[in-house]
Amino acid sequence: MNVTENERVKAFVQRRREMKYIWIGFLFLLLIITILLSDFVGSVRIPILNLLEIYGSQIPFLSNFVPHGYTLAQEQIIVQLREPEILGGVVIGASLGIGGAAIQSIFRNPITEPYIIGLSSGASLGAVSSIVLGLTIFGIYTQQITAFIFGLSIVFIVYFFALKGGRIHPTYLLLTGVAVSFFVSALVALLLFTNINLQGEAFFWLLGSLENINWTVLYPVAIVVLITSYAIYLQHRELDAIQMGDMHARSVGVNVERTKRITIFMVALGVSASVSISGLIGFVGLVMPHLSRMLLGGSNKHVIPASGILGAIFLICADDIARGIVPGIVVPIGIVTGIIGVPFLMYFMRKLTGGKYEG
Amino acid sequence: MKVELEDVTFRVSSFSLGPLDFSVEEGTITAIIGKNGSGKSTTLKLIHGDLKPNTGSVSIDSSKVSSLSSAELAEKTSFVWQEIYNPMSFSVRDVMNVSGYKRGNDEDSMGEALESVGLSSLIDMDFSVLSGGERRLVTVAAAIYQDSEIMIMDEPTNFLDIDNQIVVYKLLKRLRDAGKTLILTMHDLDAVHNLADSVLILRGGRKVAWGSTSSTLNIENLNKAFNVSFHSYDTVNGSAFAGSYKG
Ligand SMILES: Nc1ncnc2c1ncn2[C@@H]1O[C@H](COP(=O)(O)OP(=O)(O)OP(=O)(O)O)[C@@H](O)[C@H]1O
Ligand SMILES: [Mg+2]
Repeated sequence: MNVTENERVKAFVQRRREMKYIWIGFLFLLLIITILLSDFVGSVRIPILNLLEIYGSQIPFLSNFVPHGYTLAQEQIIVQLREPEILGGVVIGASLGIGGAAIQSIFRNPITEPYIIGLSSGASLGAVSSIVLGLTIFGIYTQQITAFIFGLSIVFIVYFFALKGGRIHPTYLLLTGVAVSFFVSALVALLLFTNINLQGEAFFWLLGSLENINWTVLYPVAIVVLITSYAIYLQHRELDAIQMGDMHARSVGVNVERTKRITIFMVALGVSASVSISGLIGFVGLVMPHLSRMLLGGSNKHVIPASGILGAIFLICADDIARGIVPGIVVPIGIVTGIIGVPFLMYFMRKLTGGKYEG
Repeated sequence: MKVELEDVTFRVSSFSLGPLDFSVEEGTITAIIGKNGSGKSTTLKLIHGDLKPNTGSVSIDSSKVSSLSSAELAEKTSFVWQEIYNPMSFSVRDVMNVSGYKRGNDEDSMGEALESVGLSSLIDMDFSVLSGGERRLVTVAAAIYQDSEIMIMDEPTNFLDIDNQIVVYKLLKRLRDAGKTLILTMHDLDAVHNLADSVLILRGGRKVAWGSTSSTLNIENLNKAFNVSFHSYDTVNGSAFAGSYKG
């Protein structure tokens, strides 16, 4: 290769790399716009001027200068209902997307998601038993806290069952996760079977919803998700290496078991915290990492942040539809992600892959 | 760096390997040959500490492999694996970046490593769409990029056409001349004859012979290792082996 060609190749590579950052920047902008626009969606219409005034009033210092033309009810709807719900969507969507990217790397398997390691069945057991048994040990947030604790505990059980000679073998972990999930789901079914009158409430939790999220529950979950997401991101090079095989990762210098331990723990922590306040929301953890890989290539340096942003955007949009599609009724978000999200994403996946996507 | 095996034995279910007892000198090429399933890859994994021997020990640069951290190991040795994974949506660059985990990535060395196998133009290609041979060459380039003293290669010329086999043979020689220690497996006996300084011949996990290529790679030992009967013949490049079916 002569010098000028070398320069040309370098320039091309440079452009491609810049493109990736532009993509992530663009997605982030899209997220901000989605958040702002979603405040309009709901059974009560709030004019844009009033909405802007309410935003202004929430910004320290600036609040002294904006006119207060809105009503107290309008402020309540935006600040106490819609904002925590939308930001809840951001936090939960991001944790599911990021968790999905990390879990798929560890398993080297594109059809895995965070729930596979026992998270969803564990959290369900926690939530459903608190509903059925009428637990109140943690006050009004008993259901959330038990869901969180059970989600985390079942992951630990799966992890220690799968540990063999100090190592975690991906296939074995996957099978253990599936087996334990089956067992725990059977317990959930048993609880529901024996308490027919409480099925409705539990059913709603199992389908997932952002509706009950308020600032009190959002703050701690947001902090947990922020910290765990960052911790996962810091592992992006190790996760890339593990995608090429555990032995290969070790041969390039990665402490494979440590990486798995940290990643599984962080995913379990973040996603358990998320689902504890939203119930089970599927699909995001499975699909967003794929969409990110199609847009930005397979390196986790880009896949992790993009999966988080896309997960957030997707979940907010699904929630907008859940709130807006039938006036006065909030459809569980799981129904929306399934019926509208899946065909939409199938279409995009077909378009974006152009036949080149393998595994 | 020296690699030493002392009375290494290893067994899994029906297969047992060893005892193996040899040491590999710095700046040499050692080839392990034998039938499919004779234990070549297993030996390489034992040397690299991926498998733990049942008895005996392996040391690299006079420290026990079992006591090395993955980071220390990666500085001393790189490994070209026999089977190639297909990481999700990785470009060639992503694959190379993984091998730069310890040393830190730098564009120029990455380009050089790829250029040594003639593939620098593929750097932004999707790894999964490369041909089998191209993928093999990328993994060889990745090991070179890792820049360790010892290079373990499990069939580095697998999938390669005759031109690229020669590219890799020349590369291996250059690496040895630059002081690297290479331990590899190969099925092309003539290439082993031309390249290797020492040869280990295995059959069914047992050592058939070990020693310098000139004293080890002969018709008698080859006939013991394989089910064909060999003869040697002269070519313009010296002598070569040919095997014919028995019976
Ligand atoms: N985990 C295992 N469990 C059972 N048998 C195993 C295991 N690992 C290796 N073996 C057996 O050990 C033998 C040696 O395997 P190895 O991969 O070392 O062969 P090889 O010489 O590299 O063969 P090839 O030329 O085909 O690559 C094979 O018969 C294989 O079936
Ligand atoms: Mg082999």
